[in-house]
Amino acid sequence: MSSEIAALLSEHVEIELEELARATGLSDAEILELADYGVFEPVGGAPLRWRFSARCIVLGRRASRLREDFGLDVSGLALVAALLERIDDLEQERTRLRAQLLE
Amino acid sequence: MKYKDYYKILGVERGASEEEIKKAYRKLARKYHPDVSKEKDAEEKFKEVGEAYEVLQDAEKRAAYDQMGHYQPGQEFRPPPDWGERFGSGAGPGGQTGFENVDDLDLFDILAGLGARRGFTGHRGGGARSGQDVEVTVSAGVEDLMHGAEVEIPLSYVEVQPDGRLQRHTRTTKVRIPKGATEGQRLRVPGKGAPGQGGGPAGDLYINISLRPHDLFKVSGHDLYLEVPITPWEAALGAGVDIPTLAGKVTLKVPAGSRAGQKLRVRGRGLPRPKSEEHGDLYAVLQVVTPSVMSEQEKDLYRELARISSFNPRAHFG
Repeated sequence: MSSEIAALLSEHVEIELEELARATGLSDAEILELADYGVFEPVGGAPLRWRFSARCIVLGRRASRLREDFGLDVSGLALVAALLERIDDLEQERTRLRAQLLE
Repeated sequence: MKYKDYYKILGVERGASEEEIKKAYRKLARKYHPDVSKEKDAEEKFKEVGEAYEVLQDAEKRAAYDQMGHYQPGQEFRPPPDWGERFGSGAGPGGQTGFENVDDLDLFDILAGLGARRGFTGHRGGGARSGQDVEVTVSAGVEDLMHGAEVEIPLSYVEVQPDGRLQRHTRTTKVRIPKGATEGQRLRVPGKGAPGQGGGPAGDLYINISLRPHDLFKVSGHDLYLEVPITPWEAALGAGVDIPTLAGKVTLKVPAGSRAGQKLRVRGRGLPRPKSEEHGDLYAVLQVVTPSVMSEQEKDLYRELARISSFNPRAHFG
């Protein structure tokens, strides 16, 4: 059995709008609106030519689950996404400090 | 097949209104949603609550569930004989109701399959549906992240057969975890989730990396931390100390006058970073250790040091 290569969903891999929409189940309009709120930070000129980091798939899938499970609108999603990002950052900082303390 | 009491899971009466069911679900979803909850077993609980809601919020699925009868949670049961005719597709040859292989399926497979069978058998040829994405957590060791690793991921899914029957399939997918992955990293293998139906595309496989603790190295992103015990004289005089790394031993230069807790960076000896030849760093955290058993000669030398040294680490106490 040959093995499949898993792609890292990291900042270092770029994807297009179409792929982000397919992977997350968000509509193009929702993605553009979430980009307006700063949840996604695309690069490139016109929206249809935007490129996103593959990490946006992780953020977008989370937004999509929250939309389905809590019936949130895009502004609610943007707020929750910002707070969850902050928690992620704090948890990373905690991991770093624990590693330093050799815990 | 084991019975699940979906009403009990949501904490509502059997005659609960749609609104009461929705309200109960929202409350439990907020408590156990894996994206926001730190409750123990949140993911498992959320799945259970989600299943219960998916069945009870859909009038047809709820009616089919109610008609199955009422048992104790976890009790073995089979749907009543006429249940399949009333709620199954009934499309199979020879009066098959779609539930002959009931032992391979669980209650939710069958109820969730109601809609799927409707869509599939009702629009044969035109009912293409995408397969579901599958998300799994894979445990990996620090060495796996250093060198990349192959893992075998077992997948189990239920498929609607062309005759309308439900069939559980299992398969194993071998996946290569690339270098550059680290704790908490998400990975994706496109097209390796559950297969699509009626010619629809397969879902994707998502992998969360969960790091197994290592005896020596603590991980932070792509950096590693290693406790390095040193003697008081190595701390005072400086020394070359051999330390392990994930790519063999290196000699760490401990400068004279080092302190306990001091971090010394060994550049490029951490985990590989994605999409580059670079590695994170290894931080050696010094721990000054005194011998618990000393000979008389060693004690005499310490006493001599105490006598001649003017060093006072508590001078600032005044």
